[in-house]
Amino acid sequence: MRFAQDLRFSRLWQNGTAHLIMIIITVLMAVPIVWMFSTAVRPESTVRQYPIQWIPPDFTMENFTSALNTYPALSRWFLNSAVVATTTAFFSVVVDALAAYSLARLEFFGKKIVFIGILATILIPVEATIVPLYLGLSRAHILASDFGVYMSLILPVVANAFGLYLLTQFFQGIPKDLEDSARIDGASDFGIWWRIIIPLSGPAITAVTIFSFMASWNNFLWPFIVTSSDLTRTLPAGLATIFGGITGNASSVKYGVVMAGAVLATLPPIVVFLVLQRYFVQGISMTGIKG
Amino acid sequence: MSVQTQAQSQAKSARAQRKSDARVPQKNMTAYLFLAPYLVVFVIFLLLPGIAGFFISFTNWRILGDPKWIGLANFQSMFNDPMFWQAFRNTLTFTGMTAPVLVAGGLGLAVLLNMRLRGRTIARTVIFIPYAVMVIVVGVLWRWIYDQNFGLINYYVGSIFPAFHNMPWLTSVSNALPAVALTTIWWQIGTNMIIYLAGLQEIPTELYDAAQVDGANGWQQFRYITLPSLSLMHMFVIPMSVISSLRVFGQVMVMTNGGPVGTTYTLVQHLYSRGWINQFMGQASAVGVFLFALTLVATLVQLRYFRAV
Repeated sequence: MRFAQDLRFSRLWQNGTAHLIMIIITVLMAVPIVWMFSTAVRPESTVRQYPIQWIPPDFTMENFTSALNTYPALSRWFLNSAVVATTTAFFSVVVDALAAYSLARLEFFGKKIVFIGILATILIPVEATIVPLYLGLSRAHILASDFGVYMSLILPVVANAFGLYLLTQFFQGIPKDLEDSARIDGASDFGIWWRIIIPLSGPAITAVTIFSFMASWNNFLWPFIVTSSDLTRTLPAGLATIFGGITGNASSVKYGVVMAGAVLATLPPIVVFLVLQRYFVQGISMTGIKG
Repeated sequence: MSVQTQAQSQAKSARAQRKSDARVPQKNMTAYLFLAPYLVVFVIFLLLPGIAGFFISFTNWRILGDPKWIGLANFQSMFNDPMFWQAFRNTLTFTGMTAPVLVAGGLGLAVLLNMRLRGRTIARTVIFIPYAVMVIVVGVLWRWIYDQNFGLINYYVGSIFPAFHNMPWLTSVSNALPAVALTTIWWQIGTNMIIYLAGLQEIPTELYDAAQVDGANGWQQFRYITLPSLSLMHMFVIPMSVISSLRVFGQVMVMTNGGPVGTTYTLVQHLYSRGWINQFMGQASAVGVFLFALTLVATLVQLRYFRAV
């Protein structure tokens, strides 16, 4: 009896501690984002103030209009990022899904070498390839035109080894029966890919789309290097030209406006992310890197 | 009659054999056609540049003008450059600060949020959200948080330890790198947590029930069931955490731009500065080759270790 009581007490204590740790960590993780929003919606005069007031004493949206006026290219960068990330995600899914069909459902000479070779490229740091890539593209005058720059932003990140791996794993799990009966009816491999494999792979396709969209949306170094005008800059490359320059005297930075710009850049992906986050999680569970 | 049938069937199977042999090239052909778009992009934008980078590192290539073969001169000047060694040291120190916390912390959070806790879904989402924030925004947001006079950190640290009220973070030689490391951990730990969570959910609960019957305590269950069951996850999470830390650039550029006095100057920053600020593409490529060699060695060591375990 005594023992049971002890046990129940220790369970309760453990459970309480676990909840407490969870709450503390969650709050700490949320603080920076909440602070970004809180700074963005207060008048500049109340930004640098101790003691900290989490709820702004005066609520205002003037930082947002001010951000759009101070950085007129912001909307253009945003548009560029949206176009580049969407196009990259689309091509990436098509190219990965075609290759994954071959690796998952067909037999051919050299398959193992191709598969391992492609997977090994996950380990190559892109930084090791940007110098030759930049030299090649700039010497071929591709970076001289805006269209060339857009292509240079998109094409190098289209072949996505992680997406290919994920789709290959998923395609391998689709039963053969459907494919066999389609073959008897005279379907070609492309027909099977388009009419059977793709429609059955909704979750995996969605996961890869989101992965490549987010990777492109957040990509910084390469866009920073190949873009040289506000017409072609993506959001990270453009924001770096503003925020990278905030050196020296930190007390002159208008953090209200800066945080408003940060909110404008962050809110759309966070919303998309919150809506679609279960696909991320599903996608990771499907990679086969699970135990 | 029966002999005839046998001969017939033999001929038939031989014909079938020939037919299937004849079909092999065609089968290969279809498979390669499906692979073609990927392989073309892969070869043009990854494989060829990778190989070209190796050759460029032996030349004095600039953005304009004709390159000349200069042998190992780029590597010689790189290894004689104190900036390079500083960048190398900082990058290793940074990786030492972030990677272990990202891996162990990610695993710890996954174990915690795999328990039946009320509100764990919200907690998972909140911890994963920083992943959706782009690196430049991460950098500028944390500059504000680390602000010496009105930053959030100094407000709370100062209210507990008044002596630290005006603690410099990003402008301090000793605090800048740990500060950037902390920011990076905040930004990336959720990704590792999600991967480990996916792995934890695959472990059969019977294993834990059996261990409990045998009297294994919580730590023993973790050590002998959870950890080994996640071995494939470790093989992905650990190398990726190390590699992404070795490649640190964006947050450093915005938060400190390598300063103060080079204490947060990293290898990718060195590559960028040699190539695009000084415009020595050959030297930048040498740094790229070094970075590639570094990640390769780091990964091979880890894979070897996993095989040994």
